Amino acid sequence: MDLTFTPAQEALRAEVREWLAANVPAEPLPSMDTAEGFARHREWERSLAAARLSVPTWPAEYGGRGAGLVEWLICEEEYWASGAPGRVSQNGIFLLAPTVLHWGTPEQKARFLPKMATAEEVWAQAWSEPESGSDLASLRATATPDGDGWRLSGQKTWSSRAVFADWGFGLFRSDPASERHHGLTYYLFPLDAPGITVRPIAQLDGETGFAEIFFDDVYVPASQVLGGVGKGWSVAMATTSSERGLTLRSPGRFMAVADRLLALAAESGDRTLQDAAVGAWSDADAYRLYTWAAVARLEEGIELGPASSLMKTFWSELDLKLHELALALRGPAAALADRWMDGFLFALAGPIYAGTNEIQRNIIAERVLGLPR
Amino acid sequence: MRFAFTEDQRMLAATVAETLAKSCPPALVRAARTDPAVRRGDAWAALAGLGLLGATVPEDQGGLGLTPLDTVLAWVEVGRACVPGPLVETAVAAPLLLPKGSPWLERIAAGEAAVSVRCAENPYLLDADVADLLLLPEEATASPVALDSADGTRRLFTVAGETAPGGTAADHASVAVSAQLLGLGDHLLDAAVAYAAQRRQFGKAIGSFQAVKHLLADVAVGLRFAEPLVHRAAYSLAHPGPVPGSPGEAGSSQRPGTGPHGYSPDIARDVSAAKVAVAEAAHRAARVALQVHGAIGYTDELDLHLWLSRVWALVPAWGDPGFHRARMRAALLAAR
Ligand SMILES: Cc1cc2nc3c(=O)[nH]c(=O)nc-3n(C[C@H](O)[C@H](O)[C@H](O)COP(=O)(O)OP(=O)(O)OC[C@H]3O[C@@H](n4cnc5c(N)ncnc54)[C@H](O)[C@@H]3O)c2cc1C
Repeated sequence: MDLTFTPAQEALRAEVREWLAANVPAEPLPSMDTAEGFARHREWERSLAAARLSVPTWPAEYGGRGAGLVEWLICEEEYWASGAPGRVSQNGIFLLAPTVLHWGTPEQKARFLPKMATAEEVWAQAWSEPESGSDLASLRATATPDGDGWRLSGQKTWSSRAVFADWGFGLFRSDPASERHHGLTYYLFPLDAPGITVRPIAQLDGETGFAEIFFDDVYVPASQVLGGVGKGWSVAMATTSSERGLTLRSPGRFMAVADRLLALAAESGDRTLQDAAVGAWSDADAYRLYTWAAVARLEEGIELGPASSLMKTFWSELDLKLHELALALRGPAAALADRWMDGFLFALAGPIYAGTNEIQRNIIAERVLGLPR
Repeated sequence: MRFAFTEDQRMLAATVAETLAKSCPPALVRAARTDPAVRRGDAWAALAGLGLLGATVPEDQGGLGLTPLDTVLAWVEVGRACVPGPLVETAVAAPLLLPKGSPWLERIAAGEAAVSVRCAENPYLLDADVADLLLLPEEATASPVALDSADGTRRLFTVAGETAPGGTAADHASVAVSAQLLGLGDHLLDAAVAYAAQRRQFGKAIGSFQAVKHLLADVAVGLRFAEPLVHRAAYSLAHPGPVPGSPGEAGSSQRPGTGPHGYSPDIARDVSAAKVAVAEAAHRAARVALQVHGAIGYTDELDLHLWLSRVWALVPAWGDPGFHRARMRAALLAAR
C-alpha cells in the first residue's frame, strides 16, 4: 500500500489546480436546467475540453489524455474542491461513453466521442418509461426494421436535460415477440429527428430538469445501433455499473461538500450536530478510500460488478446526510433557497435515480450476499 | 498511489484464518467461559507459532518486526474466529510499552508470556488472571479486583490508582481491535446470510423476504465502508514519521497531501475514525444477525451469542466511541 502520489501525479494536480483557479467562473453559473444556464455550462465545458480536462481518461484521439483512474480521481478532487460548475455533459461522459468505448464501432467512437468531450453534443439518457421504472425490463417502446435502419415508437420519461440536449441513447424492443430483457436493442438518436417530441417536466424546484420523449415512427440508421441488435440489455448493464459505481459520483464531489459542512460545524455550539457532521465527513472519507481500493482492484483486472450497488447506496445516503446536517446546522437560514437547499433537493433524488436504493439493496442481497430470490 | 495489500500481507491473513479454523472452533471459544487455561491455550499457541504474537517484536528479539499494515488483515481473522485471551494487549500494546531489549519481548514472541495492560483508553485489565505481567501506570496500587464482563469469555479487572494515557500503544491496540470488530461483523453477516437461506417460514426461505434482505444489505454496506477506514488507520500507524519528500527528507516522491484531499498522516483522526465506524458497523451486524435468527439466536445453545457478546465487549475497548468521537471532533474542527 502506498498512499503517496508520484511526481507526475503531483504535477498533474498542480496543473489542474492552477488552471481551475484561473478559469472557474467567479460567480456560480445559472442553473443548467434553464436555457441560459445550459448554454453557459456548455461554454464552460468547451473551455474545460480546450485544456484537455473534460475527459482525462479517454484516449487522446477523442480529446482525453489517456490518464489512469488515479489521475482521474486527482482531477475530480481538484475539480470539485475548486467550486467548478456541475457537469452538464455527465450523462454522455459518464454513462454513455464507457459503453461506446467498450461496444462502439471505430466509426461510432470517432463520430460521437470527440463532440461529447467538447460538449458540442450533449446527451440525454432515455431508459425509463411511464410503466417501466424500477422494472426496466418491462419496457415497451418499439423498434421496427425499415430497410437499412429502424423506426422507433413509444414513450420515454424522466429523461434528464432532454429539453436542451442534442442526442439521446435508449433501449427499445426490437423483437416484438420478446419478453423482459430479451429482444432489446440500444439506439443512439438525435433529439431533433423528425417524429420526436420532447415535453419538458418541471421538477420540484420548478425547473425543467427532465422531460418526456415521444417517438412517432422515428427513423434511425443501422449505424446508430450500439453493440448489436438484440444485445441491448447486456450493453445497457455495462452502463448501469458506471452509473452506480465509480464514474458518475466521484468521491471528490462529496469531499468538497463534507469540507463545507465542517466549516459550518466549526461555528456551531451544538455538540451533537458537530459530532454528526464530523461523522459524515468521515463517511465521505470512507467513500474516497473505498474508491481508491476499487481502483486498485480494477487495475488488477477485477471487475466492480454488483459492488457498484454498495457504492450507489452509500453515496446517495451520504449526500443526503451531508445536506440534512447542513440544513440543521444553518438554523433559521436553512429556509433560504440557496446553494445548500439546492444541494439538498438534488441529494433527495439520489436514492431514486440510477436504480432506487430498494433495488440496490435487492441486488446487494441477491448478488453480493447470495440470498435466494 | 495504490490502496491495496501485498501478497505477503494477504498470505499472512489467509494462514491465520486457516490455522484458526482448526485451532479455534466455537467449542473452544465457549470453553473459555469456564476454563481459564483456554484463554491462552491452543489458539494462543497456534498464533504464536505463526509469529502473530511476536509480529511487532523486533527481529533480534525473536519477533517478525512487522508493521500494523502487515498484520491488520490477520487481526481481522482473529476477530472472525472470536479467539479468546488478552491477545491485543500482549502482541500489540505490550511490545510498544516495554523498554527496548526487555526479556519479556522474547517471551511474548515465543508465546510464553501473556500481558495485561491498563491505561486511560483501556481502564480495565483484560484477563489479568491468566497474565504473567501487568503493565500499569506507576501510581496504580493494590491487587486487581475482578468484575463481570459482558462477554463471558473475558475477565475484566480493575486496580486502584491513576490511569496514564496510552499514547502510541493505545492507538496500535485500537486498530487491532477495530480489525477484530470487522472480522466479527463479517462472521455475523455470514452466519445470518447462511441461516436466512436455510430457515423456512411461510413455505419459503426467510432470506427471500425483502425485509430480511434489506436488513442484511445494510449490514454489508456498513461493514464494507468501515473496512477501508480500518486499513487506512493501519497505514497511518505504519507511516508516522516525516513524510517522504518533505524539506530535509531524502526521496524523490512529493509530499503526500498537497492536494485538498491528498493523504496526510493524522494518526489520532484516522485511528478514531476507524474505531467509530467499525464499532457502529459491527454493532449493526450483531443486532441484525440476532434479529434474523429469531428466538434461536437469543439462546445460549447457539454459538451466535459468543460473537455478539465479543462485539459488545470490543466496542468500548481501547477507546469507547465517545472518546474516539471527541478525538475526531478535535482533529477535524480545530483545524478550521
Ligand atoms: C432526478 C431524476 C433524474 C432522472 N433522470 C433519468 C434519466 O435521465 N433517464 C432515465 O431514463 N431515467 C431517469 N430517472 C428515472 C429513474 O431512473 C427512475 O425514477 C427510477 O428507476 C425509479 O423508477 P420509478 O420512478 O418509475 O419508480 P417505481 O419503479 O414506480 O418505484 C416507486 C417506489 O417503489 C419502490 N419499488 C419498486 N419496485 C420495487 C421492488 N421490486 N422492491 C422494492 N421496492 C420497489 C421503488 O424503490 C420506489 O421507492 C430520473 C429520476 C430522477 C428522480
